Amino acid sequence: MTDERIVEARGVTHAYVPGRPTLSGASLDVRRGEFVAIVGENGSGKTTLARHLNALIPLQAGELTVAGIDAADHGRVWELRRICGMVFQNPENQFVSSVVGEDVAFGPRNFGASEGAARRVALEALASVGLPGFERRDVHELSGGQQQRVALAGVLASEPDVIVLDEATSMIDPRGRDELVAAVRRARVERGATIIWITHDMELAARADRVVVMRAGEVVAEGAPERVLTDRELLSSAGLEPPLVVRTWGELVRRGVASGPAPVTVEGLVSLLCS
Amino acid sequence: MRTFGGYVWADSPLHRAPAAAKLVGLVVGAALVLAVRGPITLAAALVAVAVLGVVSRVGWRRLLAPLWGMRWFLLVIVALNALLFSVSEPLFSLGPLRLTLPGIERGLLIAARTCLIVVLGAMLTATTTPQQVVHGVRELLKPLARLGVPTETAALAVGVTVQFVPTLLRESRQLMRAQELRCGGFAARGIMRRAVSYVRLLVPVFVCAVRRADELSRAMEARGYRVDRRRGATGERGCS
Ligand SMILES: Nc1ncnc2c1ncn2[C@@H]1O[C@H](COP(=O)(O)OP(=O)(O)O)[C@@H](O)[C@H]1O
Ligand SMILES: [Mg+2]
Repeated sequence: MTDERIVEARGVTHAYVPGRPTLSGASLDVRRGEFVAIVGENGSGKTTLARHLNALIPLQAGELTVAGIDAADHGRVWELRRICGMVFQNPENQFVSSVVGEDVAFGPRNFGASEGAARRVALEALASVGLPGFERRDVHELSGGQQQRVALAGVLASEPDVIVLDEATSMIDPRGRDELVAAVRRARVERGATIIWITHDMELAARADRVVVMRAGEVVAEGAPERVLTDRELLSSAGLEPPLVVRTWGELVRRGVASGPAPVTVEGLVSLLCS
Repeated sequence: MRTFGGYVWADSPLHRAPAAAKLVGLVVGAALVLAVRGPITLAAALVAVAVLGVVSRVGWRRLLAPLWGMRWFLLVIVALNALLFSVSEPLFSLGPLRLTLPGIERGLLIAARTCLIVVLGAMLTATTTPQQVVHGVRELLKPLARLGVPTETAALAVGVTVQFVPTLLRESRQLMRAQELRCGGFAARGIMRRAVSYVRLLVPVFVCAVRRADELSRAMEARGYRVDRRRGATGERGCS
């Protein structure tokens, strides 16, 4: 992780319906290589913010740059979309081809890669998400976790700097979730990709470098998981609950068995209990 | 569920050829096949298709599979021609049915032509994704676009629809099962009530299809797809 800020959003405001803003002045900084989790209840504007990162909706007010590209610069929208890839919630609604390899090659082709180069990067991307040799398979025959990894490969094939995942695990089973998390982690380690993961899964958020809390179209808090995810008041004001580990620790403290700041991950809990 | 459209992932000159050229090729090829008359031209056409088949690296199993699917149809074509073609001396006759040698020949020729065209079609779908077909259609429709016909939108709509066919079919089957559980089977009831059941099925499927199309179009844009390649950005488009 470096100090370079790859995403800089200042006061981003968006109203789908005039007079009823979904985003009202959201600000967010993300450093290159960072893993940021965005949490917030339904309707708090997370998806709308993500769409801005990809220039899928026009910037109405505020400023937003991704890797130095101004999202309001219509001439560079295409460039921005290559630099910032998106994995969506429903795996089945993001495939353009039912053949895995074809789907993964879609992005590179759109971004001007030759046929041969598109195929090559597609195969590489499939291997890097743990699906080598899947290029001929039918996407509809895969498990949810495999489908989301195909979607991730489709994004990786365009070699993005930033990967945004919008509730990408909410429709798949726990095993699929773990597979996707591992593949994203590998993309981060091997490619230095910056990860922005929108999620309702507090256990997943606990593994981020930083947690950003959104409420009613604004970023209301951000910080290390150890700080944000243990702040019950903050979380409940945003319609959220702390991770199970934090709640368990709270109960242990209340009964006088434990004391001190709560751990946020199972590993943290275990090491505290064993020390 | 097998791949819709039957694309076979492989790398061959046919896979790499532009879809528009392949579409034109299919039309020209079909016209040539229809011009086949005698055994020599038929043999030439067979050799040509066989060579294309090898070049395509698709595998004969996939190319010939549609013929197996239409075997009864082919048989009927041969039989009808053989029995009803009544110009010459019959080999054998039974009431109005007269088996003649030219009839058999004619039946076999028509069946052979049908087979050749079907194999050419299979070659197109096996080497061209629906997405590329859509692109090819768009290329070919370009002259129409100049006259103001919205060919882009039409081609995109075709692509999206083709893509969702397997998912929608599966969803309809699930809904059908759910409705059967709730209010009895689809079969063996009054025709009106059955019609009502189908409408009840269609509405949610349609709503799903619209939502899917919306999400897919967004996912495609996110991955750099541009409806209008001349314009740099689609960012101005609002969110509907
Ligand atoms: N295309 C749209 N048109 C109108 N309103 C929308 C549209 N998309 C989202 N909204 C509204 O914006 C609000 C916030 O949506 P969203 O950004 O998806 O929040 P989140 O992802 O945090 O659940 C919701 O109340 C939703 O109804
Ligand atoms: Mg959302």
